[in-house]
Amino acid sequence: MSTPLFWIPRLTVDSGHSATSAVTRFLRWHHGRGHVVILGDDVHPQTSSQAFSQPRAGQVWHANWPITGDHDGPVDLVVPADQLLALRAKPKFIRHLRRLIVTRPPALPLPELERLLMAVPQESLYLDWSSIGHEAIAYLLTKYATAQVEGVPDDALHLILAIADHIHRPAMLSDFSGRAPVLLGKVAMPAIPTVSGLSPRNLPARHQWL
Amino acid sequence: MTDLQHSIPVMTVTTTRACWMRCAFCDLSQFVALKGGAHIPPAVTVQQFPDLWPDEQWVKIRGGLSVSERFEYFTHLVQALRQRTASPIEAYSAVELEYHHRVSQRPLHEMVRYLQYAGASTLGPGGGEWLSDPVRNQLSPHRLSAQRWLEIAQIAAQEGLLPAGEVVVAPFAEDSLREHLQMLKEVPLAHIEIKPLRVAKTALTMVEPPHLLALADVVSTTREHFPSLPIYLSGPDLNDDSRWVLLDRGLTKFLDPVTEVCP
Repeated sequence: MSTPLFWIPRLTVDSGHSATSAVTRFLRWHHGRGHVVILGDDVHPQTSSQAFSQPRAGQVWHANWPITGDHDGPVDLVVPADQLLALRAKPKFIRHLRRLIVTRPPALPLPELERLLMAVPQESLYLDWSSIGHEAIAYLLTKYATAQVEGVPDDALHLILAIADHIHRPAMLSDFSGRAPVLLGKVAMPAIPTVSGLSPRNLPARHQWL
Repeated sequence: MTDLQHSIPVMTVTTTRACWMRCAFCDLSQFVALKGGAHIPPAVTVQQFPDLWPDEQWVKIRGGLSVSERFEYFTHLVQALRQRTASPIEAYSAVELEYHHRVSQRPLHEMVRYLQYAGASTLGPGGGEWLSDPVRNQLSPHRLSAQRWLEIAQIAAQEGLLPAGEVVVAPFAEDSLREHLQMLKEVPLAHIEIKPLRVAKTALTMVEPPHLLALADVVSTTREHFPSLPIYLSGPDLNDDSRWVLLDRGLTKFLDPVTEVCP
């Protein structure tokens, strides 16, 4: 069976009291599933080696490139595609990657992006929706059978469902909580839609002109 | 990627106000009332064309079936265009030829020669020519049959006016694609034009336009069947990523409309 294509709703919030209600609302809107990124000064943009100890139980660091120092726990790392080769110079870091979220720098052509992606581990590969664009993501998902998509907003859900349909991967609502994913489906359309007055029942098999 | 290496600029000319065939996929298909002998001026006149345009800009003339325009109207327009440009002119299709053949009882060979003499470079493929009668019967029951389209395309090819083939990409036509391509192989073609189904202003507005991956699959399948024929894509305004994907699958160029002349 093919790897599911996960839709992981994401909410980015500042830490603090007001965030709690936003998170509660966000989870309620998404069947209790969702990924919350809490912004903080100690992980962005330069991260010290101490910061890479696990932040808290059930949480994982979500760090932006460039990374300095060392670490000792799983991490989600956001890397521009043109820095992927530099990432290879940090094999110890790659070993601890939970997710490698690749963004696309402006004006990077799709063939070049595809070439750069070959340099990184495919099993943890996430493609950033907003910077890569849904056409390029559709194409890349035909090439990388286990790749996932990061940051698909609610109003683009229909696009990810259409892609999943074409590449024959089940689309599922999920997160990293360990709860069972929820299968998402498209509404089936009739094979050949007709309108009243144009229905085949109202017409002869073929009109003869003369 | 809209450079001339990958793109052919096209002037599209529509020569009919409305068409009585009422094909579900066509924005020209409206009910046309007969006007009881009242004079209806021609839909498009020569004065509407620009005086000159670049030779690399193709001309595509779209017809349609109307009771008010005679075959000479079409040939005169082609002739007028030819006097203004050396660029390729793709004129009309088997649909218009069959109609005027039946109305005026002229031999098809003769009509093809007239078009050629007037200056046409290729015979157009038509608006939505699925060469599969089950699909045609549902969407365009007044249109000529798939077999008849093929016969007329073969006559045009015999006369030296190569027809263009067409593949309309629509979700309900996926199953008949190979049958369609197999029939197209029975006639020498100038090129194949792939068109995503356009649903705006038609009876099919509820149908989703084809996905990029569906287009890419059709391009690949068409290329498998026609390894050396030029394959063009016309219609949607695509971004560079989409264009690259389609070129990668075997598309030759994009037909990009730059000028439109219509009633």
